[in-house]
Order: sequence, then C-alpha cells, then structure tokens
Amino acid sequence: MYMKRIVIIAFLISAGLVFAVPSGAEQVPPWVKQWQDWAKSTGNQDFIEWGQKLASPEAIKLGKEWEEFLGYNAVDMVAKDTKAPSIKPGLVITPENVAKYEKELRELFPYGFDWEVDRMMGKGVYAGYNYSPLEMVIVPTTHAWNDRGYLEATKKYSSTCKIGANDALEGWVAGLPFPKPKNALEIVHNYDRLTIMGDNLNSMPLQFGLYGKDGQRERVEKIELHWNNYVGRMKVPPFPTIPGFEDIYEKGSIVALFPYDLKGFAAVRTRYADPKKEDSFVTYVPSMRRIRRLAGTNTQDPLVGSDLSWEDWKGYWCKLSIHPSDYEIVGETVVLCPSFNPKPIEYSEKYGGWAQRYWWERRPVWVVKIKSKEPTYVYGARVWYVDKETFAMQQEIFYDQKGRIWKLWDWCWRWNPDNGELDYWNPYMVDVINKHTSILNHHIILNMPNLSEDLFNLRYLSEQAH
Amino acid sequence: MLFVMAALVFYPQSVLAAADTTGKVDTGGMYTLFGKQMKINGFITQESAWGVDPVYSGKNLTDYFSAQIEWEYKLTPDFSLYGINRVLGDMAYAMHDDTSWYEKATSTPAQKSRSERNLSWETNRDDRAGEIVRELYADIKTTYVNFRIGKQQVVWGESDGLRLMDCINPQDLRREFNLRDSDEGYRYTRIPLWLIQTSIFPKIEPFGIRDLHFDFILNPGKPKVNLLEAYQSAGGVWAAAEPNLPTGVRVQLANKDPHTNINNAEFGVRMVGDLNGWLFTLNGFYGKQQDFVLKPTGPNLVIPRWDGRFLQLNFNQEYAIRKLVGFTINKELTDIRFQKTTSPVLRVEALYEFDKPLQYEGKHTGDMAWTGLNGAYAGEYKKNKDQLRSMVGIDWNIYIRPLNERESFFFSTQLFVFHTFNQDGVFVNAPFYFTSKVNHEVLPPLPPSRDSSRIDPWKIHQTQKYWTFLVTTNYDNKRIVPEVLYLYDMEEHAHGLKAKINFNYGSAWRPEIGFLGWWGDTDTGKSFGLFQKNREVYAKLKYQF
Repeated sequence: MYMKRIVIIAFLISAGLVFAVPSGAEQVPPWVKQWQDWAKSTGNQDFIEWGQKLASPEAIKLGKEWEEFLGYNAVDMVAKDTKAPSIKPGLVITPENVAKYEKELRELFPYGFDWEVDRMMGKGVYAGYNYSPLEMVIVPTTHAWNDRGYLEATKKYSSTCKIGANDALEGWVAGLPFPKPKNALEIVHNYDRLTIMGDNLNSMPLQFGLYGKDGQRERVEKIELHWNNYVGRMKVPPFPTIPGFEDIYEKGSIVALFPYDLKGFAAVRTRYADPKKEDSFVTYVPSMRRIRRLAGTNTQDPLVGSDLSWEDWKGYWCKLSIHPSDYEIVGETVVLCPSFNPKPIEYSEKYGGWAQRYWWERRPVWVVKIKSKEPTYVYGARVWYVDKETFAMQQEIFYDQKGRIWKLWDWCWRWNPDNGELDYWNPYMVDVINKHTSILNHHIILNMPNLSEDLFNLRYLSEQAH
Repeated sequence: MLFVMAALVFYPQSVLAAADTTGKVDTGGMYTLFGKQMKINGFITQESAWGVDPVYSGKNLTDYFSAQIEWEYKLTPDFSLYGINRVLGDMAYAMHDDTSWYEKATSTPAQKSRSERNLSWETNRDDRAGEIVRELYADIKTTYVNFRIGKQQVVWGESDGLRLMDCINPQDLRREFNLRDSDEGYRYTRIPLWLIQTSIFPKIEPFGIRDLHFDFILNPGKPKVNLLEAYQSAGGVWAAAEPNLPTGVRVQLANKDPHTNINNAEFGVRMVGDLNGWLFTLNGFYGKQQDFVLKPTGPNLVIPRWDGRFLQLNFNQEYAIRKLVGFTINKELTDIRFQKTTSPVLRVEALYEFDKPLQYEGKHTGDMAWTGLNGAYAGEYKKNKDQLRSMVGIDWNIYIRPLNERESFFFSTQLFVFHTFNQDGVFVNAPFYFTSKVNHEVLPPLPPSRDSSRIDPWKIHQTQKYWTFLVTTNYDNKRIVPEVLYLYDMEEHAHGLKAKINFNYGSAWRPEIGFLGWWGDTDTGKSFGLFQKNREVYAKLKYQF
C-alpha cells in the first residue's frame, strides 16, 4: 500500500513536470543555452532578454534548419578558436583599458582590420583623428542565420547558379546563389544577391551625419529612402518576380528632406538584370524644377556630402561584370565583429569624441579581397569580413589606387531571430585620408506588403516636383 | 496668446526630430500643425555686386536682399497645399539715393517717373512681378490623375540657359539678365502663373513605353510676359540701356501686357514616357507670346521740351499668339565611355513654332519698315514666320584624378540652332539699331536709308547658333564647389561668362563669390553686348533653414 502511494505520487509529479515545464525548455540547443547561461550570470536584463529572444520556438526551429542546411554553426566553430583568451564575454573594452588588451585584440582583427583597435587608441590611421572611439561590449558568439525566405529560395534555386562570362552570375532566380561558396567571387555574388536583406525596404528618414577634421558634426542631411526588388523575391508576393519587370533586379528611390539646398532632390535608380546594362538614374533636380537623367554610369562620386558612393551602397553595390576585378579569399578565420545588437548603437560624448558603444562577438568569417583591374576605378582594392552564417559583410577596408587605406566601414546588424531578418544599425564610414566621417542613422522597415510602384517611377519624381 | 496657441499646435514632428547619433536634434523643417505634417524651409540672402567694366568700375551696382519661405502642408496623403513666399529688394536704391551715377544708371530722363525705385522692392506698386505670394497651389492625387491648381511654375524641356520647350512661364530678366540663376534652372527668375495642371497616369505600357503619362496645362486667361526692360523703362542698372538715338528724339514704349481675359487662355499638353532608356516628351502649346514686337503708333512733337527732346516716336509693345509643337529626348550613351568609367548623357530638344512674329526691316537694311515711317511698307512692321529651334547637349561626368582625386568633373555642353523658314528680307531686334554716330544727328535717318553708317541693326539671322559650356566639380566632401558657365553667340560673336565658388560648410550658411561678364558689340547693343557695362564681381551670403 505504501509503495503504491509512492508510485502514484511519483507518477503525478512526473506528469506534472511534463505539463508544467514547456516542452523543449530542457531541449534548447547548446548555442542558445551557452548564451542564456552567460546572460543569467551577468544579471544584465538586456542580455537576459536577448537570451530569451534566441530561445523562441520559431528562432530555434529556423536556427536548426539553417544549421542543418549549412552543416555548421558559428558557436561550434568559434569554440575551436583559442587565440586571445582574455577577450571574453562580459569584458568591456574602452579607450581607457584597451592598452591592456591591445596585443590580443590585434590578433582578433587580422588582415588589416585592427584599425578598430587604432580607433580606440588614436594610433595608425586614426592618429590625430580619434573622434569616434569605441566601447566594445564583448558578448558570446551567437548562432545566427539569415531570413527564412533566403533559406527556402536557396534550397529551391541555388543548384542552377553558375559564374558566366565577365564573372557574371547566371541561372539565378532567388536566394543565395552559392550557399557553399568555393571561391571569393561566389562569396561576392552571395552578398550582392542578398541585396537589402529583403524584398523591399523603407528608411524614413535615413540621416547622414557628416563629421569634419575636428570631429565635430559639420552637416546633417536627411533623405527618405525606398527600395524594391523585382526579381528574386521570397517574402512579399509575387514570387519570385514581379510580372512585367523581369529585366530589372532592383529599384531605389530617394527624396532629400534637409538641408534646404538639398531638399527636394529626388531620384530613381534602376539596376537591370542584364550584367552589361548600366543603371538608369533619373532625377528631379529642384534647382532646375525639372526631371533630368543623370549618368547611371557615374557610380563613383560621393553621395551628397558623405563618404559613400553608389559603389558602396549597402557595403558593396558594384556591377562586377562592368568593373572587372580579381577576387581572392585571403583567409578563413575567427575574428571580432559587431554582434547582433537588439538596440541601436549608444552614443555619448566621451574620450574626446562621440563614442559608440555596442556588442561585439567572435565570428567565423571569410576574408575576401577584391582587387580592381581598372586603373581608373575609384578603389584599388577592398577587403571584407564576410560572416559564414549570414553571408553578410561585417566590416570593410577600401584602398585607393596607390594602395593606401582610404576608407573604413563597419556597422552592426539588427536581427530578428524569429524570422532571420537583418537590417542595418548605424553604418559608419570614415575617410582616413581626408579625415572625414559619415554616420548613417537608418529607420528601416523591411518587407512591406503592397509597396506602391509609384515610389519607383517618373510619377514619383513628378510628384516630388515643386 | 498667439504664441501660446502656436506652441500648442505647431511643434517638431517627433520621429523626424528625434535626436541623431550625436544627440543633436534637427527638425529638418518638419513640424506638425493641427495634427498634420507641415514642412517649412527657406533662406535669407544678402548679396552685393561691384562693377568691373569701365562704365561702372568699382561701383556698387546692386545689393539684393531676399527672404523666402517654402512650405508644404499635408492635409491628407493625397491632398496638400504648397507655397513660396518671397520678398526681394535691392538695397542699392537706398544706399545710393543721392548719387548722380546711380540715378543716371537706373533711368532715362524720359522714363524717370516710371523707373524710379521700381526695382527697389518687388512689393512696389509699379513692379509687375510682385512675389510675396510667389507660388500657392493645391496638390490632389488620385489613382490615375493628379491635379495641381494654383500659382505655379511648370518646367518643360531639356535645355539649360536658353529656354526652348520651357515655354509655359515667362521670366524676369531685369536682374543680372540671364546669368542670375541660369545655372540653377531659373528657379528664382521664372514668373509663376495661375494654372491648372492635370497629369494622367494610365498605368499601361503601349509599345513597351514605361512610365507613360500625359500633362495638360490650362491658363484660364491670365498670361504674363518676359520682363526685360529696353530703354530702362522700369529702371535698374540691369535694364538694357537706352539705345543710340538722334539728338532731340526719344522713344516711348507703351506696355500692352495681355489682360486677364478668357480670350487670353493658354493651353499646353505633353506626353511623357520611357522607351528602352529613351526618356521622351512630345509637347504642344497654344497661348500668348512672351516677348513683344514693336507696333508703331506714329510720332508726335513734345511740347514743352522738358527733357530736351522734341520728337517722340511712339510704339506699342505687341504680344501676338504663340503656337508651337516640340519634343525632347534624353539617353545615356553607355556604349561611349571615358576611360571605362562614365558615359555621356545625350539631351535633344526641338520645337517648331508657327507664325512667330518678327520685327521686319524690309527687303534691305535701312528700309526701316518697323518704324512705320516708310510708306513702301505700310503696316509691315512685322512678319510672321515659322521657326525651328533646337538643342543638342551632352552631359558627362569625367574623372580627372590629378585635379580631383575624389570626385568627377561635370561637363555640360549644348549647341543651339534656331532657323527661320522663308526669311525673305531683313529682320531685326528693333530697339538696338543705330550706331553711336546717330547721336550727333538732329533728325533720325529717314527711310529708306540704305548703306548709312548710322545704321547697324542687331539682325535676326536666318540661322542663329549658340554654344554653351558648363563645368563644375566638388572638393572637400562637396563643401567647396567651383563652377564655370560660358555662353557664346556664334553669329554676333558675343560671350557670356559666369564663374563662381560655393562654400557649403555646415547645414545653414551658404556663402558664394563669383563673377558675371559679357562681351559683345556695345555700340548698337547686339546680343550680350547689351550688358557688357554690367560685368561684375559679387558676393552672396545665404542663411538657409
């Protein structure tokens, strides 16, 4: 009788546990658990919330699917990397303590990317120009993934993709063309076809803060930005192509809001699918009060007063079949990268400049070098860190034709683990030769249903006309 | 109380006014008024110019002050109000009130009462271009049709500098002639009109034409005319100076601007589309001429001779009907590249004007049919001729890295060809007719007066060609912007040049320094020679918000 009671009680307790604890709570994958355990140990609410976000059923499901598809995850890859042991999650590296970690930090920024360290120390290319110092909050590596739409489209269509004449992509329909890239060119095509990390995008407004030699903000410019993909669509119907626009990869439109001498300038840029066909660039020029075609081939001039050109839009927007280059994977390694920050970069007046504070983590990357074959091209070479899980570019170095480091760029990604959507937090580009910095402040919405075509045509321009 | 109310209803729009990465707040001119989006921007500018031609060497020719507010009030996503309010004046009138050179420069004895202070402020009663309400219109959008109703500018065409298909609004050329804002598309000198503009977007692609739409323009009967004052009749140092006239003779022009009348209604229609990268328009216009021809109304004696002249030649300014059709096209010529980088953009524009009235000289120079004094040409002061006006232009961004490592140079060149059909006889730009020798004559040469050395009219050539060239680039992240614009009249061998540098430091202040100059025949005032006296250097300081 006594034993019978014990058995019944044990059964009830077991059954209660089964129903009381969410299924899977004990089954969170190791890549979530390590994040959650660390977050809990810090007691920091932001970290704890992020750990919970990573553990949602949708996130875990999508994370597993990407892991299964790629055959790896970043957490496992990084775990094998033993360099720079002092740079651990929880550490906050600032200009005040960076000297202590300088040697190890430089190990984590190979292939020239230790300009991030110089940025904190005012050394190297930042000597005399360290007005955008960093506070690096080190967090654990995240198993990250890109949008579910890319995953499904890649599974469906990538087998038809190949590199054709003039390094052009052939056979692409949607998604990543080369999920298992064999060379640098395939990595570059992957990033190119991620386009804006979605089917469409608004940034209202996109603000350019422009900073001069003295580190002071010398101008601010605001625009409304719209973008739409016409092929390769995987999130917002119709899929994969908008009927009637099969010849167009993507269109973007802008209208300038501020300051007054820029206000009203509007433009529609069309990138054609034909690898040899140049962009169309039709504008409304308010000073002329006229719709005017500008040269779509003029992609190398800086945009407004910033340090970015059309070639740099989203990090890389070069029509590579028109501007031939040599592509090389110069390394595959684990580096320190901006992490997936759930909140915008924090800015504060510190260390003699506007300090940025955001999360950084170790990530497995391909290091890609693109060396231009054209002596007249704006850049001699570019070097990228490309994330092995999301296929997204993380940081970039631009060299001029003389081989000097000219511009540097990083940003962190805003990321929704539930569906894998990535978009940009505060891209930062500095011209270290001319000592000028551009910080972009996006307000992005991705994948809007029913985005009107009237944002991308002559009607849009004529409606901006006053 | 007003301020309290304003504070309650008028505040920076929250999203757009949010602090940026530096914590600084910029509204960007965005506000909310009664819960609706309101954009307000504008500028205040003070400019000063000093003469460099011997006529006005070192003289402070002008001191323009302008303040402009541009606003848009979005009542719904599909209905908004837009306006530009402006005051523009020339402080030189006040600063040089008592100087004889300025009085002489800004008026003739005969026109003094009309010209004095006319251009001192646009708000003056006699200034025909009052612009306090420079533009005011409503925008209404529907799925297929947009309306813009009110006082507005409508700009057609592809040409810069010379206006061909840009035929809807007239232009105020009384300040710095055509170089005041030619490099800015005449946005400040074009005269807005009360118009109804209807744009239809059929959302179809016939024959592969993308972005097809149609514009219909209706001016219900309030046309205006180009303002370029011959004989300094409206004053200003920039008015075309009084031409050479015989001693004791003066000319009286009677302004006969078209009245507001339904019979003076104007119509324009335009089709726009993009066919395989060729952006094209087809245009048509019916309305009033914006430039006058002189209609002689007979001479009379001046009694008493209060200005020392005894004979007055009287003319009416006549504005006839204008009918034209035309087209524009543009395309980037991507098969042509400069050092594998950029391609040129081709711009072409042409119009055919029917029955354009031209001032008639007669079969031979010296017949002076336009004066009404030659009995052989009774009533033949003008003749109507068809005219073709065309422009071919190329824009090209070219990288010259040794001169500018970061940015391209923008080159733009245009060739204009105007051709008058069946031009039997001689046609002239009438007021600019006599040489300076005539100043020593008591009576005008009486027609016919062929082979007179006192006659050298500014002729209307059967084929007239102009060439323009513009180059600009940007330095220091577009903060230093030099620009040179050159104009050449290939028939009269006259030149115009504007060179300037803009300094775009910060978001608010926009200083500019520059030079304007013309070279030509100053004796009979042919072409740009009319304004050679006005060569100047200038400085502007603009505060924009």
